[in-house]
Amino acid sequence: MAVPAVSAPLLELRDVARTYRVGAGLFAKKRVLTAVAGVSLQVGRGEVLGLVGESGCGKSTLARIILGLEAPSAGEVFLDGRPIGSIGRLERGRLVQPIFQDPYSSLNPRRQIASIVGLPLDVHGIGTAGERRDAVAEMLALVGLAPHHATSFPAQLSGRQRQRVAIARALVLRPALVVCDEPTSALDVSVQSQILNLLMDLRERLGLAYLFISHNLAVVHMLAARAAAMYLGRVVEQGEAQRVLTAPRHPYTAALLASVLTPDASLGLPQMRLGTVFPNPLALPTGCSFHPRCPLALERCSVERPPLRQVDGDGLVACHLAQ
Amino acid sequence: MSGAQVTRRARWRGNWGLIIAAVVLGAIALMAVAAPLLAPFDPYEQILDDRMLPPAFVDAERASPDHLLGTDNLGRDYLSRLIYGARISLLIGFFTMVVSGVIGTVLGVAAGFFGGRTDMVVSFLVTTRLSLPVVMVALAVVAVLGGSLQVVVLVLGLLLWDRFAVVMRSATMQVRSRDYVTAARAIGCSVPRILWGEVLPNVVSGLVVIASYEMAQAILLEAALSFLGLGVQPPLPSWGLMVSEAKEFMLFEPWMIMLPGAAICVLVLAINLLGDGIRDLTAPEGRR
Repeated sequence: MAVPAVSAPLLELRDVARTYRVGAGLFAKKRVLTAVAGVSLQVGRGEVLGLVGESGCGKSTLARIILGLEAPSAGEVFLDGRPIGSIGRLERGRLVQPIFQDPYSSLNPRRQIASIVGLPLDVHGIGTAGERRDAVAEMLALVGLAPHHATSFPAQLSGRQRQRVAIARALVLRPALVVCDEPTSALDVSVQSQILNLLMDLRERLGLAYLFISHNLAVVHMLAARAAAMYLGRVVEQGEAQRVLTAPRHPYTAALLASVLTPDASLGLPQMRLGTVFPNPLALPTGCSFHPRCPLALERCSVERPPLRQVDGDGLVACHLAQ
Repeated sequence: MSGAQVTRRARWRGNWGLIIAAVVLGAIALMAVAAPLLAPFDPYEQILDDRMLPPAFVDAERASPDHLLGTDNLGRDYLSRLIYGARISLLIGFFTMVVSGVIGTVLGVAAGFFGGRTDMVVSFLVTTRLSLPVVMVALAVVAVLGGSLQVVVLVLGLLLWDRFAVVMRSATMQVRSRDYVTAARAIGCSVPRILWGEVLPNVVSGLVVIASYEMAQAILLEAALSFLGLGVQPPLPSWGLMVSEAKEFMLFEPWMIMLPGAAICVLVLAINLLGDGIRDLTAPEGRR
């Protein structure tokens, strides 16, 4: 096995795109749906990258590509400096693991918890049966579950406990990268912070890197060092999380930020001035894909697509207007 | 753990259909297994002097105390033939269900999991199968190959898998998109391992109901084929064959046709009730 170059980031995406051909009916022509339209990202070892964007912007497709469950239609994905296609499925599993949004669908209802958490060790043939049992017990303790939960079935656990099990399953192979696809949005608000604290705690202890996908800006702000905002399959802004989420330079990021509801009712509903045109991934707009909804759009925006360019030292923005 | 056991027992308690079905089926199965011990006579032994003796509850004067349920037109003990007939019905029902269940489950799970071209091929096979009238095809094949237990089981097994395939296909399509299947793929599980460990355990609960339905269906079809003279061949004591043999005397000795008819009816009813009951019992959602 070739030793990866020290400088290679843990995860690198180069112009990754994923399109689907969707049929509208028996005789209709197939149309092209663009889920991801050219994304370049990097995640270093031990780093947390937050990825924000509204539903349907391609976040989850990107997650599936990074997990190797789907091949990109264009572009390249490198894990640990190697193209993802050249990594065997077992080794890939030891590099990157997912945590899903819905803890009710992510656990096999017919397996006991110990069997769910032990499955990765089983499949990878790690240790003897006794060692695996110990590893599972240790992992359950690490995510804050009681030993007696090992013999429970998922239906006997609460949503928060199930998410802890899902985290245990993802981490039992000690992957370098964990792709968290909205890991808290299906949970009660009171439970979300527990799970987030657990994730942060485990990151420190195990030296994990997270790609943290969320539409919850506060969560990303709390966890991530860097953040990227996606719109219609493209990264529109990327940079230090603190900066992106407090002083956004792209009008879409600014609108996302403005859309966060505050507990102060006197402020009323947030005004985003995004209009009522919803993005259609079957027919991407010309020029800047955000221009039909952008309150600041110029004529130029509908013709020429702004490149993702460095602005002002830190961060990348895809907007003609950004200074 | 104990909580689950308690609810399971509680679900048994009120479920009279299931309890009755289990008792009846258990009795019939026991009868079939222990037939040589239970049957008072050899089912093939013909005593032509004692032909068509009615059971005591039909005609106490003509009835013989030896033959509880009378004798048939060749003087064979009717009770013994009914007891041995349970063997034929259960054997055919069970093995037909196994054959058709294996074919249908493999095809259905493959179609549901892989989708695309596999799905198209399987759906085509199902459509083709549905366009064949079961009784006609079974009649034709049995007429060509000759009726025997093995032929009937194979023919029915090859004809009754469609429902398994359809139900398994849709159940698998639902399960395939669950996150735990994605998680298994991300772990690096092989496809057979995913099918066996993640998909199958979550689709089998639907299998029980169809299995019981198809078993009942196979028993009825065997009776129909035997009735038409193309199923199990005489002198084997099949219930369908007994109905067929008794039909000539239907107007004079109606009990002869009613006894095997009732036996078929009770067995099929019990199997269907058992299937429904087991589904209620095992559904993780606790459907009631």
